[in-house]
Amino acid sequence: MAFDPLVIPFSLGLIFLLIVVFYKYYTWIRQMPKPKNPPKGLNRIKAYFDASIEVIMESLLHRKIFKQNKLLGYMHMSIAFGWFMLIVVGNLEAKMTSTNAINPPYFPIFLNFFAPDRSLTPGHGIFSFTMDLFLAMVLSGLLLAFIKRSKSRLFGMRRTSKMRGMDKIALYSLWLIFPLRLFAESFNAYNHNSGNFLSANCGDFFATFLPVAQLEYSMWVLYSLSLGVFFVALPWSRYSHIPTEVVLIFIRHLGYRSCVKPTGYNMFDLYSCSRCGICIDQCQINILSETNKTVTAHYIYDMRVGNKNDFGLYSCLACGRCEEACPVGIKTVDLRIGKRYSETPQTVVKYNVPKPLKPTAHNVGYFSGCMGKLTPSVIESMHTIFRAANENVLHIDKEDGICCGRPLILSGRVDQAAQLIQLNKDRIVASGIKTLVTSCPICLKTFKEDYDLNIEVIHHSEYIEQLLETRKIKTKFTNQNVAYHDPCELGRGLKIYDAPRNVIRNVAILSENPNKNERELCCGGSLAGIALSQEQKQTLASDAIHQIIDNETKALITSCPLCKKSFTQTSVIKVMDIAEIISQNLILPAEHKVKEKQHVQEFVNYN
Amino acid sequence: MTTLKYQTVIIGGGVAGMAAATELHKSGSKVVLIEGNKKLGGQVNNWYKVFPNFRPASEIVNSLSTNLLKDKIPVLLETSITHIESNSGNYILKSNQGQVIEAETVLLATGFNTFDPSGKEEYGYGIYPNVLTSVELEQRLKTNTNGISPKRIALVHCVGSRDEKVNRLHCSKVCCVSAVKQAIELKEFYPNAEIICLYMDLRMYDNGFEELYRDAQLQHNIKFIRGRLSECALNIEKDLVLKIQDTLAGLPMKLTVDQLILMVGKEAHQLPQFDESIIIEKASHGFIKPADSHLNPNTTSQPGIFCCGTTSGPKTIQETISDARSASLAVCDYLNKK
Ligand code: SF4
Ligand code: SF4
Repeated sequence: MAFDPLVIPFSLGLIFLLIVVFYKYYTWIRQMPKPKNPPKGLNRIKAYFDASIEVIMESLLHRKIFKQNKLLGYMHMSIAFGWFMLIVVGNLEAKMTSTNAINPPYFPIFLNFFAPDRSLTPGHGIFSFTMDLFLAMVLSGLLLAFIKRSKSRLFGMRRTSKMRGMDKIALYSLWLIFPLRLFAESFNAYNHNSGNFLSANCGDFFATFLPVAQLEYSMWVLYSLSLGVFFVALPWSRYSHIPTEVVLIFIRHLGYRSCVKPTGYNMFDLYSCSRCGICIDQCQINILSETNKTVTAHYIYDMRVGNKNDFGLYSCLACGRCEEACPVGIKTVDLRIGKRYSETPQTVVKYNVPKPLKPTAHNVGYFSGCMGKLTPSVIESMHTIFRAANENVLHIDKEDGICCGRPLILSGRVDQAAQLIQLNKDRIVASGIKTLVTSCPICLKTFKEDYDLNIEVIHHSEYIEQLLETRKIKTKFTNQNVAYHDPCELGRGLKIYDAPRNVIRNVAILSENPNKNERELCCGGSLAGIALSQEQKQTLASDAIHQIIDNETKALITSCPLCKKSFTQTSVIKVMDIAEIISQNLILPAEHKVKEKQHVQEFVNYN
Repeated sequence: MTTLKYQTVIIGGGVAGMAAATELHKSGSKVVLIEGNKKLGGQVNNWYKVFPNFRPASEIVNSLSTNLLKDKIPVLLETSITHIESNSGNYILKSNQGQVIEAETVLLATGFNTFDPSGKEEYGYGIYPNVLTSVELEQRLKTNTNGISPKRIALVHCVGSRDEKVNRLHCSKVCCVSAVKQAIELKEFYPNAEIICLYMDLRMYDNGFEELYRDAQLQHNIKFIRGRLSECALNIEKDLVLKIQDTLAGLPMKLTVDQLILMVGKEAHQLPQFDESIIIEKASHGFIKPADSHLNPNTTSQPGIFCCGTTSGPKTIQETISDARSASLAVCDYLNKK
C-alpha cells in the first residue's frame, strides 16, 4: 500500500472529523421523537430517492441560490459541485490506476504524488482534463468568494455575514487548500511532464522562476496540512453545514419536523446553516440597527457558540421572512422560539378560565380572539356581515374567552400554552360547532397547527369569500384604490394569499405592492418582538407602510387585527380590516336597512 | 407684493398668544397676532367651564380678546403660516393667504392638539356612539345635549398619556383634574347616576385641585377606581362592558356603563414649516424643548424664535398665561439687545 508521512495531517484530520460528526449525528438522531406521518413502504423508497435528488440539486448545484442571484449561485455551486466532482473523478481514476482492491482514502487525494505517471491508465487524457477543469471551477468559485467579502452587492446582497471565531480558521484553510493543490499539481506536472491545460501550463509558468523540483514535496505537505486543519475546524465552523445539510434533507423527507420545544431536529437545522447571509437583507430589524444582531445568519452563530444575545433572542418578530429566503429550508422561527423555550422556566399555572360552552345548534362559531378585542371595529363589522347573510353564528368569545395560546408560545412558555390550549379546545369542542371562523390569523394558525380540532377552521377572509361566492351577501364596487398587506401568520404562515384579494376585488381596485405574498413585510407589531420598544415597532410599521402604499392608495387593507393596530398608529391613510371594507359596502335589502338603523339607534338610548 | 413688517409675529391666537400680544404691545413692541381659525381663543374655546372653580371658559377668552381690541393690536384671523425662513437676522414668514411678513422675532404659541383615540380602538371610540372624548363632553355640557339619564358613566384618565402602547410617555397634566371637574358636572346633571373615574394616579398638584377631589368624593359621591381599562365591548343589551385591571386589588374586573368618557391627552400642535437653516429642537414628547427649562423656558434652540404656553409642553390655563407673559419679557430682552 502506498504511504508517505505527508498524508498524516490529512488522514488524522479526516478521522477526527468523521468521529466528531458521527458522534453528533448519533446523539441528535436519538433526541428526535418519531415522526407523526413517516412515509411507509414504497413511499419510503421514494422519500430516499427524492432526498437524493434534493441533495444533488441543493447541496451540490445550489439551485435555490441560483434563483436568487446567478453569480451567488455560481459561487456556491462551483465550490461545492467542483470539489465533489474532484473527489468522485479522483476516486474513479485511482480505481483505474491501482491494482489494489481497496485504496486508503488519501490515495486518490494524493494520486499525482503516488502515481505521477499514469499514461497507461485507461482514459488518462479525459481524466486529467476533467480534474483540471473541476479544479479551475473551484478556484473560480474561491475567487468570487474572496470578492464577495468586499463587494457583496455584486451578488445581490446588501449585507453579508461576518466571519467569526472558528469560521476564520476554517475559511483561511479552505482558501489555502485549492491554491496549494494547484501548486502541488502544477509542480508535479512540470516535474513529470504530465498534467493538462491548467496544471501543465501553470507548471511551465512557475518553473520559469521557481525551483519547482525542490518545492513539490513541500507543496504536497502544505496541501495535506491545510486539508487536515480544515477538517478539524469544520465541525465548529459554518462549514459544518456541508455534511449536516445532507442529513437534514434525508430526515426531512423521512417525515421528521422541527418543533418549538427543541429536539435533535432543531440541532440539524442549527448546524445546517452555512451562514450564506441570504437572509440578512430580509430582516426588518436592519432598519433599527446597522449591526443587526437579530437576523438568523448572526443569531445562529451566537446560538452555536453559546454567546449571550438577549436582544437578538427577544427582538425577533418571528415574521418568517428569513425562513422564506433560506435556501436550506431551516426553520428559523422554531429555532428561535425553541431557544426562548429553553431560557424560560416552565411553571404550572392555575388558570381561572370560563367553563366549556354548552352544546348548541349553531353550525358556525366565530372566534374574535384577544387581538380582535383590541379592534372592536372588526368584530362589529363581522356581526354586520353575519346579520346581512342571515347567518346564525355563535360568537364563542363574545364576553368570555380563552386566549389561543400563541402569545405564550412566542414568548417561550410552551408548556403553559399547552395547558391553555387544552382548556380552550375543550371549550370549543363542547359547543358542537362544525366550522370555526377566526378574525385573527394568529389564532387561526394555532387552531390549525396546535389544536387537532376535527372541524373546519377558516379565516374570516375565506368565510367572506364563501358568502360572496354563494351570493349570501352582495356588495357594491367603489372606485377606491386600495392596497393589501399580507399578515405574516396568514401569508407566510398559512399561505392564504388569494382569499383576501378575491374579497377586496369585489369592492375596490386592488393595487399590489412589490413585497406581496411571501415577501411581505411585517407590520412590526408582532407579539414575538418582546424586546422592541413601542417606538421601534412604530418605526418598523411606518417603514413598511411606505413600501406598501403609494400616492394613489386611498386605504390600506389588512386582515389581521394586530397589523391593523400597528399600522393605524403611524399611517397617513385609512387602515381597514377586510371585514370593515366589506361591511361598509354591503348592499342590503330594504327590510334589512331598517333593522340596521334600529341596531345603531339602540346605542344612544340609555334606558 | 408688499412685505408687512413687524418686530414680533405671534403664531397662534389661543390664550398664550393673546396674553403675550398684550404684554409685548405694552412694552412698546410692534406685534401682530396670527390665528388659523375664525375666532381667537384656541383650545379654551372648546371648554365649557374650567377647573378648579367652574368659571366659564369664555370669560377668560373674552377678557383677553377685549384687551387686544382695546389696544388695537393687529390680528390676522384664518391665516396660517406655511413657511418661515431666516434673512440676515430677521425672519420672513409666508401665509396661506399670500401675505409675506418680515419680523425680528417670532413667538410660537401654537399650543396643542388632543390625542385622537381612534388609534386606541380597544376603547371603542369611533365604533360605539356612547364613547366620547372629554372635549366632546364639554361641548355637550355647554349645549346641554348629552342625552337622557344614563345610569352609570365612567371617565378614563390618561388616554394617550403615559401610555407606552401608543408611544406617548408624557403626562398631559390637566386630564386628572379635568376628569374630577367633569365628573362633578355630570353628577349635577344626572344626580341619580353613578359616576366613576378610572385613574392611574391622581395628580392633584395645584392650588384648589386636591380640594376639588375631596369635594368630588364627599359631596358628590363620585367613585374613584385605580384601574387600567383594557378593552371596551358591547353586551347584548348594548351596554358598554369595560374590562379593567384594578391595580390596587391586583384583580381584573368588569364594569357595565352607559357612557364612557375618554380623558384625551395633549400632544404638540404641528409647527409651521421652517427653512432648513432654522433648527428648533424638540423634546422626546414632541413639544418644543426650551433652551433651559429652568432659566430660559421661552427660548428655543434658534435665536430670535421663542415659544410660550403649551407649545413647550402641557400646561394649565393659568400656567399658560404666566408663561406667555414671561415669554414677552424674553422677546423684549432680545429686541433690546439686538
Ligand atoms: S439561515 Fe439560511 S439564509 Fe440565513 S445564513 Fe443560514 S443558511 Fe443562509
Ligand atoms: S424571523 Fe423576521 S425578525 Fe426574526 S430574524 Fe428572521 S427576518 Fe429577522
